[in-house]
Amino acid sequence: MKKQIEQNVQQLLTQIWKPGDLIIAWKNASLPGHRTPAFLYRKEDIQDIVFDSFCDISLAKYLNERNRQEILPPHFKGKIHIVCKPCDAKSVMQTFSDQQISETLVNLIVVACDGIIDRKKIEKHCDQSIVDMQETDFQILCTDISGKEYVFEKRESWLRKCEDARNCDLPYYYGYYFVGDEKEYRTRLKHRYQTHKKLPQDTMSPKELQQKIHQELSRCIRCNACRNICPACFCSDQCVFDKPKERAKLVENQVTTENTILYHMIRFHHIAPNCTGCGECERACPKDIPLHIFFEYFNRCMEEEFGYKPGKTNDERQKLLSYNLGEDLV
Amino acid sequence: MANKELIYLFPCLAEQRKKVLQEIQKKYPLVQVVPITCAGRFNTSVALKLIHEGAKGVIVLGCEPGDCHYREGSAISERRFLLTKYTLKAFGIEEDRFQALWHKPSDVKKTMADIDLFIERISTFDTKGGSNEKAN
Repeated sequence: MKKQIEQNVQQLLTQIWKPGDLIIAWKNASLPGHRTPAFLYRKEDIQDIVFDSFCDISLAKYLNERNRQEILPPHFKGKIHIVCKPCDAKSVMQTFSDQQISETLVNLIVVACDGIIDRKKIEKHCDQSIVDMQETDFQILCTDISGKEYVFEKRESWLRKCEDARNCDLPYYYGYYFVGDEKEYRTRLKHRYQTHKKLPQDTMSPKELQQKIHQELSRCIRCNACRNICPACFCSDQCVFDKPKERAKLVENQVTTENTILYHMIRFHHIAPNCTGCGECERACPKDIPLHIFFEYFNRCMEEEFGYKPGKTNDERQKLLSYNLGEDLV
Repeated sequence: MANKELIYLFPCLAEQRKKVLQEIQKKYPLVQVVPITCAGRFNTSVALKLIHEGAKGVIVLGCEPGDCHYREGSAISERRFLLTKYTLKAFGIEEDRFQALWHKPSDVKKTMADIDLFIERISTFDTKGGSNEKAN
């Protein structure tokens, strides 16, 4: 089943590809269960492309104006073909509507995904380091260094975002190729909708919440990984946290829990209008800080208060930057 | 560095507002006035920083949406101020510590009454101890 999707992606790309184009997709890495981003310029390399439930990295980040300059060769005039999961396609839509890249430059290929696996969850259950990791239709098979074998249910070791099907919705955009059966995909989603989720902000009292946040964020080492991987953060050249000497000093350089709380407060406040809830910041965090309690709250707030869902279409300007006279305020 | 007793007030600098500011400074010596050009230009992360470091409250004084000298300034900022309230709530801080007041610059009575109400509501909150946790 999975192999077929992989073949279909490769077949589609060989048809579309023209000399001078760039393909952004995943390929195998040396470690078991790891997939890395691949930047392909040649037709022979298309066979290396992989898609399975280990492809957890979002590739949408590479379309930003700044990141694009680092990848692309000088005088690049071709098209960029980017392979995406449906949740990453939302981040691509958001880069379109933030005017980071024009739609004419990009060919979006959305792949019907069946849930992505959280490697951290699996590594927790294994005693020693993993040598081999493979998947069947519903299960994952791992082997240790010592030769011990483990079997995991796929459904139980999903990433957190895959449990809620609202993250898997397809965007309202007619310019993408869909690999897989679209009708089947949409009906599959209907069974997984979570209608009302309770967040810690609803259940806890403010003091308990403050204590919990203090406890969790005391682990933070301010490595800036959550900022660097975020597809919604695109002003990396002039970030508030980067050059405190030239502009107003909002956060001190010293790493204390008070400073880290302020850092996360300002960061989430800043990206709330274009956060699509892709969960990359939580995945990239080396200290396993549950950042989802913040961005899920902000996503809900944007939907309830402003009636605006980031990443839904390619041309909706964010509500907090634009205003037309006579429009409703809130 | 925020002073723990203070309430910070960011008024937009319309010319008729001078009378209000004088009266506020007479009545409440603990209110620190920091004039800004337009309420739409106010950087909300400054308010977050002040409240997080222990200031009692932050008020932004702006013109009514539609009356703004820069046309859309107060309209955009009203949305952003709503988001700051949510940010405070998400991190377990009282959302009432931040407030935006929309009044005509010459309307002294109404603005004074609203500021009185705000200070009354804030006085029930205890000061947020930032310094004790820094030592750990």
